Amino acid sequence: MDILSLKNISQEFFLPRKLTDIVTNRPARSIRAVQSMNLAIHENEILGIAGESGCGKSTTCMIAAGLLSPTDGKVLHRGQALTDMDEQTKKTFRRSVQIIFQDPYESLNPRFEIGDTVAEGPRAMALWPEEIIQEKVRSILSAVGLDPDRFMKRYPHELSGGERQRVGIAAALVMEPDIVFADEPLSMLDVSIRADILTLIKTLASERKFSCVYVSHDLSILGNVADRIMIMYLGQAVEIGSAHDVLTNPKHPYTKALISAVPIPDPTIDRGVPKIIGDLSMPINAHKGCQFAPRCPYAQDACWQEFKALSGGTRGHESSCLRESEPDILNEVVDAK
Amino acid sequence: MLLDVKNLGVRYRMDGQDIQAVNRLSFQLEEDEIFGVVGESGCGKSSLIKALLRLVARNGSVTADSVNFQGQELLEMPMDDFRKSILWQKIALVPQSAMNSLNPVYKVGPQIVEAIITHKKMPERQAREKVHDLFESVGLQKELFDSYPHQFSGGMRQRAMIAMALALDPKLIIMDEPTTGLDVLVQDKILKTLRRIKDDTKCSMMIISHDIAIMSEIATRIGVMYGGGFVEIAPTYDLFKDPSHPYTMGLTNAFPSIRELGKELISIPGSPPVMMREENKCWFEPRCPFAADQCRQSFPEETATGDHHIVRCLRSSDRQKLAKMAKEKATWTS
Repeated sequence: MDILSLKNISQEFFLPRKLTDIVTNRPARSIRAVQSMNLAIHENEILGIAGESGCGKSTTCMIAAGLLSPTDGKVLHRGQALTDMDEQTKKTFRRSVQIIFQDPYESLNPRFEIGDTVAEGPRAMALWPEEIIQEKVRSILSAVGLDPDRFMKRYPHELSGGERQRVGIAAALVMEPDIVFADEPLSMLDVSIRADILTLIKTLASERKFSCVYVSHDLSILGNVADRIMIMYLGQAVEIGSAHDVLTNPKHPYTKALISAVPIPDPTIDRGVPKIIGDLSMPINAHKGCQFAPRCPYAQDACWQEFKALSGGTRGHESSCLRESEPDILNEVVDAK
Repeated sequence: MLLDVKNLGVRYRMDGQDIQAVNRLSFQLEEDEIFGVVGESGCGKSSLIKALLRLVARNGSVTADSVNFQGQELLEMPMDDFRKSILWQKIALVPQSAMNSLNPVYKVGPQIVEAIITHKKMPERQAREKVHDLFESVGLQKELFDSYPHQFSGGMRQRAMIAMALALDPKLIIMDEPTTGLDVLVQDKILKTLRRIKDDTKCSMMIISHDIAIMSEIATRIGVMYGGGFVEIAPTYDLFKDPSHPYTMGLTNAFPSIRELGKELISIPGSPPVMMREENKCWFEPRCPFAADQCRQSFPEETATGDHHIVRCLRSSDRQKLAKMAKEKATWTS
């Protein structure tokens, strides 16, 4: 069974009404952060979510982690809807869903010793007696590559950025979760140590058998860490599939353009010029159809009227593009230089 | 030659301790080139910029044998002359997070007009026309002249900052992380704009970034900084084809590429030096898998390993062998 599934999730944020709106009796304007999203997170997989800023990647994570209740739709944890859970099941759910935060400089309490930071979760939920907690903390610290004898009694300011992010990972994993959300966990780290943290997340996920939702705007990192990738554009999931399929054989014009814009660390490769019209806009009072239509050189009338939601990856490699059966379009999205 | 820096040092005094942020740094900049500076946090990139623009804070001191810009010694000029004749007129800066560097309560166009009038005697109408031209050259619509910064997207603000840097036709534009925080599609467009501006105006650019993928696309020459100075400087193609310093080799290993999905990433063990002292040994030695006794005993001098290819490594004569070994994960982990 899937660990988490999102069924037809939509999330709208309403903007404050202006005085003129109230006088003229105009309804409040809203931003549609997520629209008709279906997503299934399988056992023991790393799912990458990619997209530009404001595309709804973080909102999707917050909904899936139960931190935000969606305007519409359902989140199921192992088949059970979050809204139907009683207090006890909710507790189990909260324990099994953990988050690795983006910024290890801000997310650790500067006045807590590392040992206490990691032990805080299990203590708060009274998961085990204190001796067992201590034991688990020591074992998870060594699993993330920090020697417990040296690090338990230290404070965050004595640690480097990479070490802090390891503490963040330990604090999430000590709860023995079955799914972990990682929202841009590398963006604050130096390039030379990023690879280590990435490999650590990958190895731990396969050793400890948890699933991971890895959010990033960097497709080259996702190509390296993720089993499956979902691409989002202004609140809509436009493509999902195995990392290899999505990155080497994209079906949606947006995915294709996004991939061709990623710089390549090899001066001999020429990646071409993506043909995309205009700039990213805000989905305020958005139209019904595909949000990418205004920037898509191949949009037809139907694209503005209708959005084909993905089924969440149950059929393998899927795209929301109405014209996906016309492969010539994709060949034209990127001009050779 | 546009700029010739010889043996630059920047030292800060903090809490009774000396921190050598920039150390024995030398490089030359030619006209009409894009020089990329790559380095991690704390390698001295920002101090280098501050030293060149004479913006180092009061607790810092700058030393150099020579910082020669078009025949003038920058560090020896009286501060007033430097401000009047060099800063912004000859050398302009696009600061880091330029997106937040615009004054939020002034309209964007008039901000740039003000910058022009402050530095050059020019009637306001002429300055406004100039700004219209600048907007066009960085790809902003003229109608945006009277908009406020909050009405701009991140990419548009970055373009506005680039327009401001171009306002007085400088010979050199220094950019600190010009695309950090921008989305890939926007980043792609900004990089193209930069390349076009360089071709149109023939000015030189010095671009600072931690992202070697961006550098490989835009820079004509790349300098790799570590521990306060350049460890390797080479034309872009040579740097990737024939990396001569172990740190450069390590960086290319650690970087994922969308074209090599299965590539195993290898990071460099240890972390970058934080407190730097002047020592008579190689900066990278504590993290280097190839360090030998000689690396601990003397500071590597600059060696040429090819045309315009300079490296500070005592083992550079073995570089081909080392580059092959550097591709193996075991080399870095054992």
